[in-house]
This record gives sequence, C-alpha cells and structure tokens, in this order.
Amino acid sequence: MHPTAEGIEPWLADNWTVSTDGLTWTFKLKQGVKFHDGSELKAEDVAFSMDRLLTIGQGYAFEFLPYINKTTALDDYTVEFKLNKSWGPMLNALTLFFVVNKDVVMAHIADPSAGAPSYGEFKDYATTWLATHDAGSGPYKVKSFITEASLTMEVFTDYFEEILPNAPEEVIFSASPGAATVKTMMAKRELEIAGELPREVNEYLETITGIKAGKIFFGDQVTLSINTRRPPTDDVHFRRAMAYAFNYTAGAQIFAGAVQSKGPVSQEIPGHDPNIFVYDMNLAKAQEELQQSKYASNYTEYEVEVAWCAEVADEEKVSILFANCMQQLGINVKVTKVPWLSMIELAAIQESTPNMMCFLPCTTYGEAASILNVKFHSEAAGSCYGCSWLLNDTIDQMLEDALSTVDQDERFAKYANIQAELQQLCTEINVCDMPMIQCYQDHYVDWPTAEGQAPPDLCYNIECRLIQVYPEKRQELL
Amino acid sequence: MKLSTYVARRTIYVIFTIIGLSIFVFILARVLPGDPARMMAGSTAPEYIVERLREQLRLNKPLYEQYFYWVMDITRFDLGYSIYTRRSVTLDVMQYLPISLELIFLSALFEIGGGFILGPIAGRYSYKWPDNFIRLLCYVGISLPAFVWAIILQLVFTFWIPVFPTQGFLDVAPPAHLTGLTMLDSLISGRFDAFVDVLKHMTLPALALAIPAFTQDARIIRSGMVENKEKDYITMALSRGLPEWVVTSKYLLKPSVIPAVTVMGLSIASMMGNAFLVETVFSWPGFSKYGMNVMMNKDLNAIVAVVLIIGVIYAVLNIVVDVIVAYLDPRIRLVEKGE
Repeated sequence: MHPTAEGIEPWLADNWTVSTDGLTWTFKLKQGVKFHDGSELKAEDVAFSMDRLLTIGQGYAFEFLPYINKTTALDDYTVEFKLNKSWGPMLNALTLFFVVNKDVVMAHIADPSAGAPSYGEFKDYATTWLATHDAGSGPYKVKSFITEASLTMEVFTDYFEEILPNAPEEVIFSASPGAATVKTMMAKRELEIAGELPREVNEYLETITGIKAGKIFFGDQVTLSINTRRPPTDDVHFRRAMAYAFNYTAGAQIFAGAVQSKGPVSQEIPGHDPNIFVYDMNLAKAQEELQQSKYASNYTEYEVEVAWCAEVADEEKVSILFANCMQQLGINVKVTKVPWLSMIELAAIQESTPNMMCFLPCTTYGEAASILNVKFHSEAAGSCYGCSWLLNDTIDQMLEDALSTVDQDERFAKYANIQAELQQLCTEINVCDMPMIQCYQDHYVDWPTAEGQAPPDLCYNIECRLIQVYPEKRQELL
Repeated sequence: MKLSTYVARRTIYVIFTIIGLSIFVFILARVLPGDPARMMAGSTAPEYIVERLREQLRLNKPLYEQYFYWVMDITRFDLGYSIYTRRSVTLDVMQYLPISLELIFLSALFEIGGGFILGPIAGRYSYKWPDNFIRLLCYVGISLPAFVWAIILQLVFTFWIPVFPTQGFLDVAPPAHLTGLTMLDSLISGRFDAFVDVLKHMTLPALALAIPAFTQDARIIRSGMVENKEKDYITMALSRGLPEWVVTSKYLLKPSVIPAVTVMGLSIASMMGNAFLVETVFSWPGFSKYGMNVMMNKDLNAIVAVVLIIGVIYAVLNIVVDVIVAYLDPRIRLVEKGE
C-alpha cells in the first residue's frame, strides 16, 4: 500500500478482499512488477518478506506481530494473510511493509556475528548484507553506500509506476553534515534539499535567493505527557487545572510553523476528531478545577517535576513556559534536563517516571490508532510513549474495539470517542502540532511534499520519483 | 638497557593496561543510563519485544557472564554485534578505522611539517620579527579549536575560493577494496582519479585537525631552542668556529625537539578520538564520528571496541614516542634501569 495526501492507494496490490470476520485478507498482486535484478515480484516474495519481518521482530514489526498469524502465497499473484484477531487499520499499516526479493536475500544470508540475533536456518536473514545493499523493487536502486557518509541511488528504469520526466536520475543522501556545511552547500547549490536544521539556520537559508522552507506536517506533536499515577498529577482535577493554566498560544510560537494541538492526535492524521473538546488557557476554570482536586489544601507541598529531552533544546522553552504558567496557580514546578537515554530509563518504571515528560511523539503509520495505541494502551506502559501510566481497562477495551473494526467510518467514530475520553482524563497537555521544516531549492526543484501534498507518513517525505529538478534553472543562480 | 628490552617491557605494560581498560569500559558502558534493547526496538515498541531483544543480545545475563562471552568472541577476532549499524562491530571497525587512519596520517604529516618548520625558524630568530610573526600565528592557531578551523577553512577554500570539495569522502566510484585504506587502494589498483579525489576531500579536515597541534608544537620547539641556546656547549661549539647552521641543526635542535615529540605523539593519538566535530563539519565517515554515534545510541559492543582501539593506538604511539625519545636521548632509557 502507498500513502498519498488524499489517503492510501494500492501499490503492489491490485485489489483485495477481507472475510466477514476480518481474519483473512487476500491480496491480488499486480503482474509484471520487477525487482532490481530483473526478476518478477511474486506472492512468494510477499510471504517471505512478512515472515522475515515477524521473525526478526525489529523496526515496525511490533505493529504486525500481535495480528499476523500466517502469510501464504496461494499462487504467483495471490497472497493471503491470516490474522490472530481482526485488525481494522491493516491497510494503513501495510504502508510500513516493504517487500524484498526472496532469492536475493537467501543468496546473501550469512552466519551472524557474535552476540547477534540468529534466525535458525535463515542464519542472519541477510541483515548484514541488506544494511548496505537493496533487494527491492522501488523507483531507485542503491548504487553505492558509504555508511556515515553518503548513499547514492540511481533510477530504476523498469519501475512499474510513473517516474516524473524531470525526476533525478541519481540521488545522493549525505549523512548529517553540520549546519555550517549545509549553509555552504545550499548557497553553492550543491544541495537541493536540506535536512531538519535549527530554526535560525532555516531563517538564514530563507534569505538566500531561490531557497524556500517547506513545512511538512506528518503527525509530530509537542506534548507534555502526565504521569497519572504519581502525586499530585494522579488527580484528574489537578491535571485539568494544569491544562487550563497553560498558555497554548505561546507554546505554539516556540516552534516554527506550529499550530495549537487539538487533542492527543495531530490534526493531520486520519482519525483525528475535528470536533474534539480542547483545553484553552482559562485561569478561572483552572482555579475551579484545582479546588476540586484532592490536593486543594496542600498542593503547594508538592513539586511537579517536568523532564525535557536534553537533545531537543526547544523542549526546555516549553518546560519553562509550563513552569511560568503554573506559578499563576501557585504550583511548584521543577524543570529537569534529561538525556534521551535516561528519559527512556526513567519511563520504564512507574515510580521513576517524572510527573511530566516533554517529548515529540509521532505516528508510525498514518492513522489515529497508531499513536493512541502506543501511548495509552496498558501494554505501552513502560515505554517512553506510554509514560502517562494510564492503565485504564476502559480505554484498553475501547482501543481494542476500534482496532478490530474493519469499516473505516465506524472505526474513526470509535477513535473520536477514545479521544474525547482521553481529554476528560487529561492525560497530557498537547502543546502544538509541529511541522518538519526543510529548506530546498525552490527555484529549480519542484518538491510536492514541501508544497503541501505530503502524506502523513514520515518515510514518504522524500519520494524522489515525484521530485522534479531543472538544471538550466540552477545555472541561473550560479 | 638495550632498546629492544626497553620496548619489550613497555609492550608488556601496555597489554596489562589494555586488559584493565577492557574490564573498566565493559562495566562502565553497561552501568550508564539507557537500555540498548529499548534503543534498538524503538521508543514505541511494547515491552515483550524489548525483552526478546535483551535475550537475543544476551543482555539479560549477569555482567561477568557477558564479559566472558565477549572475551571468547574476541579470541575469534569478533568484536560482537552493533545495535547501531546492525552488523558486526568488526566490519564497522574495518570500514571506519582505515578512513580515520588515513586522515590522521595526513594530519600528522601537516603537524610534523608545520611544527618543524615554524618552531626552528622562531627559535633561530628569537625576539626578532620572524619569531614575533610566528608567535602571533601560533597564538591564533592554538586559541581556536579544530572544529572552528574546519568551518573557517571550509568557508575560505570551498566557498570564497572553491578549490576543495565542501564535504564528503569520495565523489568518484570507490576503488577496489584491498586494504581498506582508500588512498593506498587507489594507488594499488591504478585509480589515480580516486587517489586525487580522496586527497582533495581529506586536505581540509586534516589541516583543520593539524593547525592547533602544529602551532603548539612550534611554540614548544621554539622555547626549547631559546633555552638551549644559552647553554655552555652551544657557546663552545660556536666559539670553536662551527658554522651556525651546523650548530643549530645538529646541537641545538635535537635536544630541543624532545618535549615536542612527546606532545606530538599524544596529540596525534588524541586526534583519533577528538576528531568528531571536524568529521561532522566535513561529513567525513571516520572512526571518531562512529565512536560518538555509538555512544549516543548505547551500542555496548561498539563502545567497548572504540575505546579499546583508541587505547591501543595511544599505547602504541606512546611506545613509538618513547623509542624516538630514547633514541634522541639515551640517558632516558638508562635512567629507567637505574644505571
């Protein structure tokens, strides 16, 4: 499946059917799709790829592991997925599933290095080889890969879908050079699209003729997640008081191009409820909620600890803003800078999880369930995303019910109910929906993603076959 | 004491130092905050997946057992599995170490060349205008860290006067992989285009690393020469009518460079670990950058490998320096024995 700004569309699949109980999905594959070695992509490759993903269990495998029971190639062009339980967002989640060439992978399996996972007869499942090579069928194939330096890809002329006429024949991804280097390369027109850079660098780049900053929303949200099991934030009225006392307008201004969030799901993500109740700054209501709290008489004796990720400087501004806002209610706030690795460790245990953690969660696939499940289901507790320690049976049941609903409208209605319930429980302060800002050579590059035609999936922000480059226009700038 | 005995003794010290370092780093890497299995699984993965990875990576075993496995693997020349690159650390080391060694080698040439040109000139013309000019250069060179030099050099020689590439390692097809040392491989396989390309990419980062080092060396050599100039044996040599250039090069320079040689050895070794920022500015896929990334990702096996290899390089360079110093000044190895 392939995500677009309008929704998902079939890609390797031609059509599909789903059984009435939602447990069997049968996909008919397109014929004539070629791998980079020229062989045809068949159902056996799809089944092999899914088995490989589930066996290795890394990356996005966690999305599929609870659901996919068995994958079978019924014939060369028909593949069947048997599920353990019904899974509504399966089509959306399949945008995270990539098919590899079975023959190529099997030709490159090797004994794993010491301490590395081993997969029986499949040895290392070619993980070492695939770290620097490809075995796919996409529009570009790996030409050379110098890890930590550059990945060079060349166009695959036998690609089964459209490659735009001015799409680059060769694409080079450079490994994160420093901001000063990016400035130089952009100014010399040696770099067409920059990565994520500090705000001041983007602002400088925008002053150069022919360079524009593209705003790409893919579901990133700035969030102050609340530990609902630790005093005084274990009280719902106390949490609501904080939510009413926070200045959302100022919070959104910290991040370039950001807009105030509306609930726990980013507004760009399918399944977000546009009619959801939203907390706004209202000190009278904040005082009212605080008085209803069980800590009304002694909340000044507590300290609300806010941890922010040391690697993301802007999170400090959010945390300090939060502390300032809470001063108006007389709530004591302690702001702590914590390295990401320590954040993960702190969040692993309920007692060590701070009252609030500032971080930037994003979806894995483009649907509300992708973020709701990894943040609020009880099984998520112990992970950084699950640091609210909600452990709420009702929410668990609502999530499982929504996830098992195949009909999209019905499922989205259930997501809306979950979002409403979560807002009532006030498990986090959703500060803003934040775009990824990437500068690019607007004068000679057409990049649809930066021009607002982006699917809400991070992996698809640079789809080179849809990017058009005009070298003659570049010459005008040199 | 014979020079060979001296070297053998030093080597034995180094072996014990490396064993001690391995235990220390192995434990330290594991007690620092952060769960490698969680890092590998991702922040959204449920706990049962993380637990499965802990088992696969043997992270659920006691520390002494993990160390035992690690030592057993080392005996098979296997440095373990990297959760950062998802392949063998041995492969990573074989890729990144030669790239950095080449860079450090060129940087060392710049350091030695720069130090041995500027230092003796300043010493020979002490308190005259060449000395004053070189002093000014040295103060600027020492006071700016290597990564600032990297940005300055990049601005001057890639943007204003575009004679070098802005970043990267290689713009042409890589030569056949023979030794891992790209310049050497280029020469062996007759790929002179690749040799020139790598050299062009390498010049600015090597120079950036070398400038603070050679300006410091120059000052040390200059100080030694100024101090030794006043010694009686120099006065005697000059009074006996020896030409000044002979006295300077044969009698004055030799004892004056001993402290600088020691400092050079340490600074060359430290480049291996400290080149991270320069490598980042130039997108140089080196060992130092790799080391920083594996530390940020709590890649236990890779951290231990990086620290140990840098430790070995330090130790080997120290031995080399000791040998050079012992050669330059035989009293040093004799004093060690108590003779």
